[in-house]
Amino acid sequence: MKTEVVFLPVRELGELVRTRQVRPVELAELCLDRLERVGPRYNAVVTVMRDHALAQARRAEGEIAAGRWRGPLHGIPYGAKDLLATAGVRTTWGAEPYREQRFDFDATVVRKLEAAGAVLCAKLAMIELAGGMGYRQPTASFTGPCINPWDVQAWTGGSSSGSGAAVCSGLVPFAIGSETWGSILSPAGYCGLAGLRPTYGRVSRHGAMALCWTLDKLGPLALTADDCGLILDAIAGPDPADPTTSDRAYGYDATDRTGFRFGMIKGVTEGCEVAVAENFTRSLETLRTIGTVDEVTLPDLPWEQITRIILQVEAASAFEDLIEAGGIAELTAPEVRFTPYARDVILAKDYVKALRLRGVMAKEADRVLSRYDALVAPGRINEAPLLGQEFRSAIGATAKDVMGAIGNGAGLPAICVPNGFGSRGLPTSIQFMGRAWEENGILAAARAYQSLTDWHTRHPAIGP
Amino acid sequence: MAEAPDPEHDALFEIVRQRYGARLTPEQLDELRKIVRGQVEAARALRSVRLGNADEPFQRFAAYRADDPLGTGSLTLPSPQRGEGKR
Repeated sequence: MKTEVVFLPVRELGELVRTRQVRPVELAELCLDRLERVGPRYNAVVTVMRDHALAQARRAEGEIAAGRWRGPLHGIPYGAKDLLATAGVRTTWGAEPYREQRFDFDATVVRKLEAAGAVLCAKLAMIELAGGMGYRQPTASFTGPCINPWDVQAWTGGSSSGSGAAVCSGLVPFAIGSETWGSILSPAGYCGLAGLRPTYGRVSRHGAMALCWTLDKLGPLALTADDCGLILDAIAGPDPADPTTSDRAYGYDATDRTGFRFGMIKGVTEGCEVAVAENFTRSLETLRTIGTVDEVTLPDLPWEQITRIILQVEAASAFEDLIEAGGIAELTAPEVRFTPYARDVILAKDYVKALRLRGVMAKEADRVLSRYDALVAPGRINEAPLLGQEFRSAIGATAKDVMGAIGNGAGLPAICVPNGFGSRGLPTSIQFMGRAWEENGILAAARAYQSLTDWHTRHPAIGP
Repeated sequence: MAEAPDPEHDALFEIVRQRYGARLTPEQLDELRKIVRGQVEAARALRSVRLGNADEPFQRFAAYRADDPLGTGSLTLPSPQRGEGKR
């Protein structure tokens, strides 16, 4: 099988599998070989699941041969961020204190993907504890910093770092990541991928590491927005094991449309690198061919402080035992071995105020978004940081990210897709954020943008 | 230039120092002092926004009973399947 197949979108690959031009077992073997051989170059992989994957692939192959095709993910390999429980395989949360942790069940997302016929090939690297302790540099995982396939001196972004590196380097056609604040959009943006953060409550988090109960979301990273829709279709839905999931039905609608209404927060490129701002301006020109773009203003509220305080308090509570016992001293990033202690003195009244202001945030965001199909903004403010570089972060209060603060604070869906390259030759990106439960709207917008551009068809030179 | 005295910050930082100081180097304590200052500033930004009496926390809560025939769909309970325990 030609290696080029690994850079085919899931939709095309699924069609090749359905028509038996590609066999699931040979596809799984190709991905397993790349995960084992290429994966270490990028520190992308924690555990390769060879036996498990081949068993699933053989089952898929038999079913398809018997005429029982389950859908576009049937026989398609994927990787899961290593915070999703998988029976019989360690689930490390990217962190030294948990490197031998095992669960005896599969996360709901893993079960749903199995039901769709997808083939789980690997547990993928991540920032330790999904970055919730306040890391400031890429070396914040016991597996080492994830290396960007576009430039081995650069980071992939995080905390779904391995999910970004693995799809970007053609180890798997798609991966599952998680986002509390930026952890899907960051690696998608820095690696030139499509990354979808679903609405809070759209996808069950049963079996996923809890970082912040009211902020955590699971979603896909893939080559195209269309692929993200196919994957969301498989993983969305209510789950009694995660009471925060919604009963709202979801079905991916791939119908093309035009006549979009886009909004753009005034000053949204302030603080962005020059190339990021220039590429975003060019993207707006493209968007104006398929719709309108209005500048919008938001009330003057402490958006970032609202989401940051919620995140800091919930993460400190979720890992209270580890922090108070001093277990954080075993973490990899030096700064997170002690900085979480400060969270002990965030006052309860201030946390509750943040929760009350979150209601204002949600209403204001919905008021603005109700007039638009999506708010657009640069996906990231910069190209991927260098591996040895301390980076700016909205969570750490060293960068602004109003879209991320509102999107995650209010639980809104967003998708990030590539929109060019920066001065160092690394991908830049644009994000589309929609109203709650309107994933199909932002997917349609991102698909329309990708139909007019070819950034998503470019891939890094990986070598054999 | 020295930072202006801030009793709230100083009091909160002192709690951190009392609680964890034995584990920390002077450099780490300095870093924590800055972080606590940032937290206090963030909290003050929140406190500066006036809300009405009826502006509730945007967080669902429901009374719970195990045999509720209607279910407790809005309830979030600590779940061993979300990662707690089972190491």
